[in-house]
Amino acid sequence: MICWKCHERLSSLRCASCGALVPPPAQPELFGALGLDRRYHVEAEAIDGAWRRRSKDTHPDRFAASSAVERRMALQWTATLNEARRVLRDPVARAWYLATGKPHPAESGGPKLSPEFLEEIFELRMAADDEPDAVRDTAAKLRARLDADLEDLFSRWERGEGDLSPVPERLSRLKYVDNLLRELPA
Amino acid sequence: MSNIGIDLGTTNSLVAVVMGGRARCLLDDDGRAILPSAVRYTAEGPVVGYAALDDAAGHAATTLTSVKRFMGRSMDEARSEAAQLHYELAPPDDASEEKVVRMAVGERLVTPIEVSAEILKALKERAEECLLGGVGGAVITVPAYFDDAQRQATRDAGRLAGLNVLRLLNEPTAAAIAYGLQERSQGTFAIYDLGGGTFDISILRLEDGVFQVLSTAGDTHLGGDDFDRLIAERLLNEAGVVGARGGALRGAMEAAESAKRALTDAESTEVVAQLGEVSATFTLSRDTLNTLIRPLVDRTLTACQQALSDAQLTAAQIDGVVLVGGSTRVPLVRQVVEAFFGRVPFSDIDPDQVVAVGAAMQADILSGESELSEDVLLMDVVPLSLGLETMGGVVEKLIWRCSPIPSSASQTFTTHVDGQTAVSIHVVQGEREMARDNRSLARFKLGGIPPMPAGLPRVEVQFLVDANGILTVTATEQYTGKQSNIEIVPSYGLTDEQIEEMLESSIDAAETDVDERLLVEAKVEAEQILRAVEKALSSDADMVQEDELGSIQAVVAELKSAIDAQERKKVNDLSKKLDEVTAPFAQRRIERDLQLALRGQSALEVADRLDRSNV
Amino acid sequence: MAINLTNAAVERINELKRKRQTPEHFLRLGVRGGGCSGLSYVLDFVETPEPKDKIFDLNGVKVVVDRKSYLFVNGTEIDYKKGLMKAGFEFKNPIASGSCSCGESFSV
Repeated sequence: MICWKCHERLSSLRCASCGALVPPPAQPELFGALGLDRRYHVEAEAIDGAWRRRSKDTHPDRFAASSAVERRMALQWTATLNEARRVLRDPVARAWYLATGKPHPAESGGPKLSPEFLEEIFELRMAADDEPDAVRDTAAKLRARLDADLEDLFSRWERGEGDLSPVPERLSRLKYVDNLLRELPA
Repeated sequence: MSNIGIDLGTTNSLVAVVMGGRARCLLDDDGRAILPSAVRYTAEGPVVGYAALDDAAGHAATTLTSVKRFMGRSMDEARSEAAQLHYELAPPDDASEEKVVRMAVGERLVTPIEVSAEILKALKERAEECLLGGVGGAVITVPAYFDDAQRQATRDAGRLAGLNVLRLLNEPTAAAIAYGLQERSQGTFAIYDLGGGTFDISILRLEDGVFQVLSTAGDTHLGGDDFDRLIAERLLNEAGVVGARGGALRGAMEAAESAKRALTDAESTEVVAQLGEVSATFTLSRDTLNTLIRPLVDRTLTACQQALSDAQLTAAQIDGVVLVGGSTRVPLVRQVVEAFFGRVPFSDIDPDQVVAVGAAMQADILSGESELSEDVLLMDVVPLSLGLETMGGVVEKLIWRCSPIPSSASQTFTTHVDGQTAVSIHVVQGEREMARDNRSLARFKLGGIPPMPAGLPRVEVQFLVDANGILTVTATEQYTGKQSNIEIVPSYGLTDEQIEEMLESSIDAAETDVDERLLVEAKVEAEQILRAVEKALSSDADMVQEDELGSIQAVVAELKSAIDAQERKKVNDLSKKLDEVTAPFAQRRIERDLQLALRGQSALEVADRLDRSNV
Repeated sequence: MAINLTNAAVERINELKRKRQTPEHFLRLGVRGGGCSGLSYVLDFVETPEPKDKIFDLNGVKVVVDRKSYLFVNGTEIDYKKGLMKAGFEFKNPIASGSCSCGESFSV
């Protein structure tokens, strides 16, 4: 990539030669914004490290003496980096983001779940007061299965096999199970 | 040009600058770093600082103090506060004036923004005097809990004072920078700030080069002045004075303050108090002082406990405690804080100056030419969540509290009626579920939406909180790509137009006074240049090129007629132009003169020769 | 020849150093191009002189001048005047052929 201001070759978001910042993307891809590969398996430390490195190039404090346009770019970039870090550090938001491009289910409520699954959750809820331990046990197993399932989907996708289309449905189910687990009496 | 750091406090303000790699506060003619945050409006204009406080009692109605308490507040919010102060709030003429506090001083009305601007101007002048190279930009500190309206008001005051405000910085963050805490890799710190009239405790976490305010608590009416009041009450009691007012009360307060100061080092002190007509001598021991103020100091600990539990921490998890504010000099305060956190607080830097020092260090780093470490980034966080009022008055949060800033969020809006061309949005700040329980920030009206069936337009609104914690909003209609116009009606404070008006009127007023003087100066200067040029042209005619002579003479003629016509701007512009067109000629003359003096030697060789011969 | 500070200038410089809390700083006197008569004086405070600077002690004020500037400022007297309109340092240079009313620039 070439610097828009002095046409030098760039090695980071900020030109080493003239100090100009790469213009922020209008519709930023959050992994790309941090300079990370699109992968589900990414350590929190890697995200923080990338965020730290890039923020040091983009933060408006670095452009206090620059033109209004460059200050605005710095503001936009840093806000994007902060958003990317917030979303990608959260495994569920990260999964939604990879599968749908949004860090949460769509406003219309997300994918339809099978009546069988909803029935199962309903019955577990009914039994929660009488046999909380048994319900907790069952729910934990359900959760472990969903986890393994998602893990498998993402691992294969990262190897270039299969796609992420089943992910939103799994994530929606996960949410039902997590809500159930949270609401169980201690 | 140096950048400056300003601590704009409720009771006192200071300005500091990094010079020679070290931040130092700038002093006044009497060697004092503190400028009391007081402004008195006189017939000759505003008087700021100690001069405003001299005989303040005689001018109570025109002497304004503690205006920071009113920054970004509405009349309604200010009323209970004003009752505790001695000056009067001007009753608003209409509903729109409810949004800003106005104080009546003599004939005129002033806003807290204008009063703060006077304080900032005084500090700016102090800096201009001390910095021969001039003042660049400024970093101004604000309390961590200041909301959007209060931050806006502070920034506007800076603008009105003619400062280029580079950044608003949280006061506890500034204190932490002053102690270089940002150079640690991580840690959790408590900033204990006990000033003249306010107490703040902030818990900060440093992680990955981000300073984050985890929690703040405090008491907006607790400070060293309350210590003085307790001591004064005791003095009056001992003297048998009942219901002291006026001179007697002032005398007792003054004696109390000096006793308190003396007891910082001494175990016991004797003070003479002028109680109206009579004067009386008192002895006060540190033990007695401690007994008197203990309940107040304990109140600060209640707030510390509150801040710790809000941050879900215990005192033992704090890695460092920083003392800020003059009242932390009181030995009992230090003892109690040390016992509470189980560690000796940082107190090497003068507690009055520590915030200004940190602000100056940040200001220096922002210059991009700092000797201080630039590797650390200060990212403050949003102090209170920002959200929108949705159906039924429920708040939908867009930007959560404690998100690092700058921070952005976007939201898509649509219409409810066919052909609707405008949508209004209500932005609130706070943590409560219902919009009415939060602080209203602004109402935005998105206009210019193309007429379409209901629900079809998609207006994407972007909310952006900048590094100062101040919100801006932009909107785009998705199908037409058209930038919607947004009419912003701030719920509190002044509109941009009002600030512009104030700026212009202050410039106008100054201009009428200064206009004449500037014209005289411009003419004198121009005539001087004309003389110098004409003299040079006659003595060194051989060194002027022909075309050069033509253009010089043309400018000379123009300048002369501008002087006759008394046109200041033209005179200035042409003087500058004359300077420019004669520059090559002047350069040649300088070189020739040097050559003659040096007989062909280089400037440095001559310098060496001068070295040997003269010194 | 050398550089001269009037008593008023010495007092003012010491006052500024007190206010800045930089008693150890040097006063730098220099000359740079520009200004209404071609060259202008520049005053600033600095923490440390450059290796090749000339250093003077004038009535207790430490003054540094870079060697090129010294060619022009040698013999200059620095005064401080406080008037109604403006207060400031004034420079008198014996080799200057012209100086402007602001007293801050000169030509040789």
